[in-house]
Amino acid sequence: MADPLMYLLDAVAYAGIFGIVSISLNLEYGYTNLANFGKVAFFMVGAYVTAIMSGLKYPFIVNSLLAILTASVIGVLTSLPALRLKEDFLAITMITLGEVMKLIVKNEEWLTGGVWGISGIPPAVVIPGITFRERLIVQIVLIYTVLTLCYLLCELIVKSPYGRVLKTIREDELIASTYGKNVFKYKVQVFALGSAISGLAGSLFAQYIGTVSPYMFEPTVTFSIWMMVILGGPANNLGAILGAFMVEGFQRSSRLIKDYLNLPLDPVNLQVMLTAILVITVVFYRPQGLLREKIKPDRKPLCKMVKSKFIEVENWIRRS
Amino acid sequence: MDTPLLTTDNLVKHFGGLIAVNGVTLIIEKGGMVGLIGPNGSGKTTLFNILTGVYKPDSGKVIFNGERIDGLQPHQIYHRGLVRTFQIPRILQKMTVLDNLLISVKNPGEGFLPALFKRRNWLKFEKDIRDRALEILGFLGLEEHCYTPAIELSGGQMKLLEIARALMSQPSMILLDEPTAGVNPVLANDIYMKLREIKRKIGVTFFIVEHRIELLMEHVDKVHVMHQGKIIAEGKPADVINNEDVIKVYLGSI
Repeated sequence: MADPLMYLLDAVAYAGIFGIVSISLNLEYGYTNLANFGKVAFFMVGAYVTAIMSGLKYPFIVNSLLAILTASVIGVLTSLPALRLKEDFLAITMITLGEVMKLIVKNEEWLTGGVWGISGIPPAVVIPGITFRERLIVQIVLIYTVLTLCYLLCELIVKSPYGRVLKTIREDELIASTYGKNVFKYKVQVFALGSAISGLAGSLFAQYIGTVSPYMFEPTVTFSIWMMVILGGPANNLGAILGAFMVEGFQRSSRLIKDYLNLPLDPVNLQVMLTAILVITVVFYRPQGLLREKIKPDRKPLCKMVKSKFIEVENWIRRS
Repeated sequence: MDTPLLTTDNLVKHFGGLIAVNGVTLIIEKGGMVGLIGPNGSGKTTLFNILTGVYKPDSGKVIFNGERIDGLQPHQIYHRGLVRTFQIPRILQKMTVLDNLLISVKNPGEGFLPALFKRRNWLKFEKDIRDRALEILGFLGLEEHCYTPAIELSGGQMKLLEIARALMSQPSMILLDEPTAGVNPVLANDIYMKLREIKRKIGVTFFIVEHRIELLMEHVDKVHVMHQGKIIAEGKPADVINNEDVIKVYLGSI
């Protein structure tokens, strides 16, 4: 708590990383209605692949590509049996997957360093002779570039006929298959893509923190990612990013507040309770999330909308 | 004479101890408008589900356009030109009416990589099918709703939307499961007039389950009557309506 700005920058970086994961969950849950409760497993795979590879002195770009590849391969392998299940059973299976992956990482000491994890992962961009704060800012730039790219990718996907098929699967699987869509194929693809993006986020996470251990990847991480999507607004990519900021901000601020409160109960429990209250309130009063899904299309493209606003302002200036 | 469009041979489907479809043999000619009537629970919808691949028959064959289609997945059957509507409209609620139509077309932008890298390709296609969709919506009187979320439509409009979506895919045969259930009499008659017009225009074959007997009899050229999983009568509407068995199990003494 030496420097409040550092704490804030750290929070911003975290929110960016989890924003990427939250976009990927949004693609799976918000658009395709796949209840992937094992998000943390793919995030962890990405982080660990990066950690192990950087130990072998490979550059970050190779590590992250391999992280993406590994996560998506694991995604496809798990989805092949798991996607034959109905929604709720899929959720249970995926929670188990998250836990099983964590146990594997914990016990395969030769590869993953067991409970001690792996430390000393170099950051992706090394600029010699800059202060810690500047290094943090470089990290933030890197993370937000990746976030923007992922956001654009997902926007392109969901605004295409491909995205329309995903929404059809979400609304009614029987209709999707009656009208000639191979539902299973689409689900596997979305699962692979979602896993790949979370693997990329895990890779960023590992190089940002510089160390990975199994205790960073508890199932609660999955639930905070779900909170981000549910609070921000399922089927709205901006909403998912906003949700990431909110949840991260909420968790951090409640962690800060508890230092200043003298309470008759354990402050950690208070944080959990507050989180639950937040989720219940939002789900109860605004089930569509903060930013709702856009169903009607924008009649005008963005440039024309900006232009018409511009003309409005111009007229207004001229009149006054 | 052409080969028939759809034939089924001795179809059987059990659900546990219940025999829903018990040896149905049908022949449907190309370009016809064929009705299927029968009391509730006689297996009409199950038959539809078998034809479109939702259920696999326990035994028997389905031949469509000279090709066996029983046991195929629904999406494979769609690509052979057979689509259906549902008794209770299954619309895509959180999508616009236009999108509800557009999903029923095989689109080059539906693959993952083409969606990203061949944008020009599918954007052009999209423009064409959008025009066609608007035409169909206009024909069914839904064009002013094309950008409303489908959940905001009324029950009758949802029915029309189902038909529009089936038409949009340009199939060679459409199975309609009670196209006029819950629709007011004027609109119901209107729907049938429109179906006939469509049939004349694009030569699609309709196979219709219906409970509004008088209306159906006016418009179809052949009727099958189902009872307890079996076809008990078939033929011209005038003959069927006077068939004693049919009167006993279904029509009652009118």
